[in-house]
Amino acid sequence: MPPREMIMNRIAIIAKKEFKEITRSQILIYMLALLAILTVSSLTVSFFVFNGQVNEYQQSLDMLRQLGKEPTAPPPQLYPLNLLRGVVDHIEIVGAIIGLLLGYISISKERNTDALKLLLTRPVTKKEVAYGKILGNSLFILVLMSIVGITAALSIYFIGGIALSSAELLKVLLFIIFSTMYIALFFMISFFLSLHQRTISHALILSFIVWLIVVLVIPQIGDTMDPDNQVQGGLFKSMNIDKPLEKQIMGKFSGYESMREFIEQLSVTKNYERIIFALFGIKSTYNGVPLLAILGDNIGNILLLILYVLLGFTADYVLLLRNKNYLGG
Amino acid sequence: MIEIKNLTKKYGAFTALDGISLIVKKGDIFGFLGHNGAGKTTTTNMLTTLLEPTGGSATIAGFDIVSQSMDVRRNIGYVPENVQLYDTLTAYENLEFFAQLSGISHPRDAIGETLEFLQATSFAHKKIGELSKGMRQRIGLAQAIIHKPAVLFLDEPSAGLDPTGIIQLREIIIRLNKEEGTTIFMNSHLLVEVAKTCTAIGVLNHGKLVYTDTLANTLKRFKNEDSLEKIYFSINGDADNKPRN
Repeated sequence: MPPREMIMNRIAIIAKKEFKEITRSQILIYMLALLAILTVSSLTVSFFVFNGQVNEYQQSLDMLRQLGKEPTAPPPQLYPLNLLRGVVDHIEIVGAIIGLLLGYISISKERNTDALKLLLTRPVTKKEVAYGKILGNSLFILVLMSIVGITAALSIYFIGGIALSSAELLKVLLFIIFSTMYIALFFMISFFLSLHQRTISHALILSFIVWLIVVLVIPQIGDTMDPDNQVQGGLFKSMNIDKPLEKQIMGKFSGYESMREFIEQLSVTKNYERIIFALFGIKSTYNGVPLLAILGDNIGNILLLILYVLLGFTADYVLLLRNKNYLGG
Repeated sequence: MIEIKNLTKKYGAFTALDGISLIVKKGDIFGFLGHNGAGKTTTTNMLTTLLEPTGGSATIAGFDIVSQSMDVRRNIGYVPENVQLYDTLTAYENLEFFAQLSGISHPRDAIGETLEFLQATSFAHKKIGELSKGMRQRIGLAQAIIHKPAVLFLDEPSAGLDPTGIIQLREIIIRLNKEEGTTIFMNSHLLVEVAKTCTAIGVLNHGKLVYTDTLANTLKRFKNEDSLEKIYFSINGDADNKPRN
């Protein structure tokens, strides 16, 4: 058994090679550019929308004052991280696709060529290959999400003229970590399928079917089942029903609600969305709530996200070890 | 150096390799011949630890290919047919990767020495995707010998090369064998090349080893045949009736 340092060294060598290869892949560079452009553009749009709300409020205020009345509605409040909603949506969809492509490319480039044969005739175990590939790709995803996080913070500063507080920067840091985990899971799904399927193109098709179900279909079913989503602005709000009464009403549909909750939690996208919406205060009840309380309130979603990532990792690991004739797929 | 005993590989009901036994001596350049599908690549894949046999055993430099596969890997180099490395990396970066994986303590020195040996220094910093077939073949060979293996496996090394490339490759193989003492196990269809390069041969037919001997003995035994090509067809023509040597 080689010493631990040698094993770590070989994992690091494979991870470094993976990282270097990804940074030279044009398709992924385009993806990165797309994500950066989407981040800046969605923030710009959010600022315009917010400015529009402020102007509208100011006009209403002026009009009321001319009529000799005092305004009753509070002015629009700016929570800068709320403006990142569009960015979160893009990561849910485009980020997941980047993860899938990374997993596919990581296996296909070696399975389609004899590079894999060369790799497996070196004194390196399949376990080390798996760890190295997962580490290298996860590092790339971390760098990618860091770029998105930094771009978002800088855009808020340069476009909106708002410097984020240290508490908000901490939330951006957590956003980077959770987003890395989310995209890494899609990498591992695609990695698993690319290893498992005999034909590599089938793996890509299957990966996109999984993406479709997890990212779009399940969350859509959950949203459709949510009674509050049936009317724009919220069913209960439109009927002037307050929160306690809403809870009382929904209490009578606890079985239905449990089913909806179960379906939504099947999708890692929904878990990720809930965590980030809470962190950024996109779900308005979390605005002004201390960070620890937000995390505590969403601990179920955080644990599920971690569980999904661990399941993905374990599946990749077991498949790679069990597959004695990895060459044939 | 290579000792194979009753090595077998089955895929369900199909027997790809049917209990072959063979010894390749240290310093030999062994030519492994056979039709397409005879089992040459399957044998090489097992000897290079890429596939596990379903029966029998084999040792390389004294290490068992299954139970001591990591030791076997430290002692072998492998150049597959149509060698393809990592296209987006340069030749140098590819070699650095394989050198580091092989545990070479001073990769830079080893890379320089290997590139010089193969006269490949001039295109070391070009991306693999930009190299010609012959250049890629040399870098493929470089990754296989960078750690100075005891045994080098070559699978159809001349496939797709132009005549100049074939001659250069032949010279490299012979130099490697003579200067470094590397034992070479080579699958090939090009019998002319085998005749010019190898010191011993083995012939596979439908997964069975039907002939093995030194090239000198073979030429003596089939003295009525004027080329290895004719000898090969003579062996393979009535393979089922030929005794195994």
